[in-house]
Amino acid sequence: MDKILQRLLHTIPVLIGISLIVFSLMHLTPGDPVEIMLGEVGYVSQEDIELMRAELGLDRPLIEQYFSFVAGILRGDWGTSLRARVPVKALILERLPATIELTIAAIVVSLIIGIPAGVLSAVRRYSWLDKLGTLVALVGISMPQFWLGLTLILVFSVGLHLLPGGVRLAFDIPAPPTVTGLLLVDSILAGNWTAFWGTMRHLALPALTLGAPMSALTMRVTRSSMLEVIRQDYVTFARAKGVKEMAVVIKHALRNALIPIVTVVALNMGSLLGGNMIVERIFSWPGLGQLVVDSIRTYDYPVVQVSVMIYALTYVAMNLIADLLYMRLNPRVRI
Amino acid sequence: MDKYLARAEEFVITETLQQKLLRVLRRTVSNIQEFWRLYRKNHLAVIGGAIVLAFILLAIFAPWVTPHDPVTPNFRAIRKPPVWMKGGSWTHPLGTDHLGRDIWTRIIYGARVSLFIGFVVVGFATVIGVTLGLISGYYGGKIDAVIQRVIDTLLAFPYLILATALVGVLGPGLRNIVLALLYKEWIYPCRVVRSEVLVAKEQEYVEAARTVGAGNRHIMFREILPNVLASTVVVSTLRVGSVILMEASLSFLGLGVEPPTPAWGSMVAEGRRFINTEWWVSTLPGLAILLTVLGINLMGEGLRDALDPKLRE
Amino acid sequence: MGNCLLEVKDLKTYFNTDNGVAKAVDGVSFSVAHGQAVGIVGESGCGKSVTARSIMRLVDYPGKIVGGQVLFRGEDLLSKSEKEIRHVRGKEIAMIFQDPLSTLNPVLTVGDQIVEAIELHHGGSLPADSPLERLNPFVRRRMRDEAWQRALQMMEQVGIPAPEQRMNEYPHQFSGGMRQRVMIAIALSCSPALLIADEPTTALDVTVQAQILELMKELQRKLNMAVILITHDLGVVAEFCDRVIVMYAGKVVEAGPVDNILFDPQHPYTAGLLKSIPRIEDRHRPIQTIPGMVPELYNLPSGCRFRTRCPMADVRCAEEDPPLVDVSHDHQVSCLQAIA
Repeated sequence: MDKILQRLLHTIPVLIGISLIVFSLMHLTPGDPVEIMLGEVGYVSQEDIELMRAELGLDRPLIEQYFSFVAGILRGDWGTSLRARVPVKALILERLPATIELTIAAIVVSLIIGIPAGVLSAVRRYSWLDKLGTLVALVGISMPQFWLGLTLILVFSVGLHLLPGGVRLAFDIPAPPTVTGLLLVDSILAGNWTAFWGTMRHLALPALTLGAPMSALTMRVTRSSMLEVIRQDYVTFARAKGVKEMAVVIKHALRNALIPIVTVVALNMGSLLGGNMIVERIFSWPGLGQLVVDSIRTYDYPVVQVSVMIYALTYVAMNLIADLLYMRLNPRVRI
Repeated sequence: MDKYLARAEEFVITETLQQKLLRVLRRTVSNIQEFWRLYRKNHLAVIGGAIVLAFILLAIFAPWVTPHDPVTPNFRAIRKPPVWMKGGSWTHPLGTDHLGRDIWTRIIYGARVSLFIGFVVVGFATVIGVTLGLISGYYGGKIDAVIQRVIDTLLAFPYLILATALVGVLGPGLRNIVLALLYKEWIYPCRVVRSEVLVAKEQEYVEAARTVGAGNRHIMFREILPNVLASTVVVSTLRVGSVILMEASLSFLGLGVEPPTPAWGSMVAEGRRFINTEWWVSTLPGLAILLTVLGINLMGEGLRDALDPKLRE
Repeated sequence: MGNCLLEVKDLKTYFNTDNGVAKAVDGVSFSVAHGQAVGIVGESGCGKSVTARSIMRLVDYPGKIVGGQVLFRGEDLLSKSEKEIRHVRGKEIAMIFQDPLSTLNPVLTVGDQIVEAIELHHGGSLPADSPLERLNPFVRRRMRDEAWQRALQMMEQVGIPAPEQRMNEYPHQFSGGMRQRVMIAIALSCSPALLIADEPTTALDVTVQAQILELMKELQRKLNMAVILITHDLGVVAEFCDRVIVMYAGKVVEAGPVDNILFDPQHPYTAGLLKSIPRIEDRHRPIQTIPGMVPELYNLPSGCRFRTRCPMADVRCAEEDPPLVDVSHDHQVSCLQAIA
């Protein structure tokens, strides 16, 4: 229990740091942020500028602004979008489920591809399969995601007409009633299997695109971790006991290899979250990533601040979960 | 001890400048030969290096490599296919886009932007990161704690999201892109150098330097730095690839260098509209990114194997 | 020999290294009778561990068994399929290793690791042989319970206090000696006919060493099991073994009953090893060591491999590879000087 508490305490400085960076985003603008924001609209009077400055609290001292910003976040009052004139919270909550669904799908895809490929590569070390796998993984981390997404659309949607290349669900399939906002969950709840299958098909390409760099990375980590573990005496001892090779690899080797894999994958979760923006754009996915890009382009700073913060908090949360998982997997540090 | 020091001084003094230069030169040459011997063994790394070199040369000599202009539209040659397809010609080996601009030309000029940003950002980041990493690792204590918390915080922000937001508030343009990427980029060399310094600090040569009365700055920059240089070079090389990917993503999202300056990411974004018919407009620049980054990564792994045997699995 | 359990004939295990082929085991032959304790001694790198692993076919890449036969109950283990050899491992021949901390899986409880071994070979007595029956959850449950009981028994048998509680603990929660006991429990859980112990006491404290040896001896007698004990410690051999095989640079240089080897060594290497043991009766004499270094296995000297360090070597030793010949009943030596 102590260890968990300690770990939680460690995140406090990070959370403060996140709030500082997010807060400072608006003030990094060269010149007057209000003028830039309003400059988009065309001609504005000095009065309008003052009005807006007051609305954003920019007329108050910086310290005061920071504390009221933090207080607002904690209270759940995330401000108002300058463009849409609706609460930022509503805007974000509307977009969040689509992103969560896509991100989870991508994580699942990357683990399903990455771990078995890494294990296979390590077990068949020096074989052509290992060499090919390693090279493919290197290509995977060298590839721009938007290019992969376009290529997948070109091949599977344009060329082969196999999978849809955009949006969450075809317009001719009635969507299930919104409960969680996650279409897969909602369609199961409604017992609507047409919608479920449709959502799966729509998820396939974006999840693959979003998960590709992560699966390449997972593969590389799994491979090197497995190579390290396979050399250990307990693996030989398991063989000496007469354990089947498959069980040696999975029960004895992989369970140990997973310990470092969890940490590395969690640390690199940032690239997967960042990829949201790209993938959602390519596949017209109505998620948070698109909202960030659109808000940046329209200088809708309150929305930008909160969404960027949500991404950072997600990263922190995922690393916390990974640490707990690490403790769970490794009896030597278990609480 | 004093006696030996005096002897050593004598030796240094009796060596003329010319002799010293010659000695250093000879050692450098043999180091390079040894490095090349190890590097050459990895064929993929040699190929990677060749790809990178080719792109660098093409970028530098762009005006001499292609007769076309990268930005002027040519309405007489709109959406021409590449040479290997029906209707293609050697005039436009990789075809043209919707404004009739030669794609090969734009890829070469786009390399200028990508490589420039990649090397400049990583260059600055390495200088900042190595300095902070040395300080953080060497002194430890409060200053280390502060730097580490800053790094933890920056790690929490997905790179691309932070860079996008920063370019958003700073405004577009080459300089702001470099700044936006630098904002986070320095933490990578910093982390590597710090952990290496922690190891090096305990080594005997540092102890020895301290015994003969060397100052902190001397120990950090003259004794420790040369020993952490190898891993810094490896990490920085690999980082160039990541930064190029970031820049490409930024320009894909419309936050890169301003059009009509060709950048790989924005070329892909512009060509997206024609993906159903003229697929080459967007896929070929993407392929250029893939090749460059792959080349850099292959090179980086080769460097790692050749420079730093202990990093090998 | 009708009483013969294991017969190793001309075993060759080579390693492909960057420096060339290392002949770690190069034509080793010996046999082990039912219930017999055989010691294999030699310096590190002489091939004794590789010999042990070759018997179980557990040589890792880049090592490869390139020749010879390992006859177990008259059947050649080297020509068996992967599946067949698996039924020999653990059930017929068990093995324990030097460092129990690295040999026990850190993420599985001790109980799980013993139960696994029992379940793999049905603990010798467990029912439900048909695969269909094994799918039945009730049968599985019962098998699991029985295996758990048997594991408990084993823990008790190897002298682990409070076994019920310790079954659910992880290896890192055990002391070195207790870990080695766990490993013995795993190895002996299916009552193997042969136990190969690769330096089982080297990583332990001296007092614990004696306890573990005592335990092994007791269990050997109880189970009427043959043991191959690999060690570099002649004291352990004197205490434990009936027969001794001395290896040097991948070859057997001398083999014979333990008394012959200890009191009447014929090979200069064996004699050297014996002299290098510190003795109480001549504590004023400095400890003798064998001069020189073990040759590199990919760059062996011509003729006799020991000649570079041998005080008796002459010209002939460089020309002829000495054969292993009988010098007295059941006592063989491979040395031209000894035969002459």
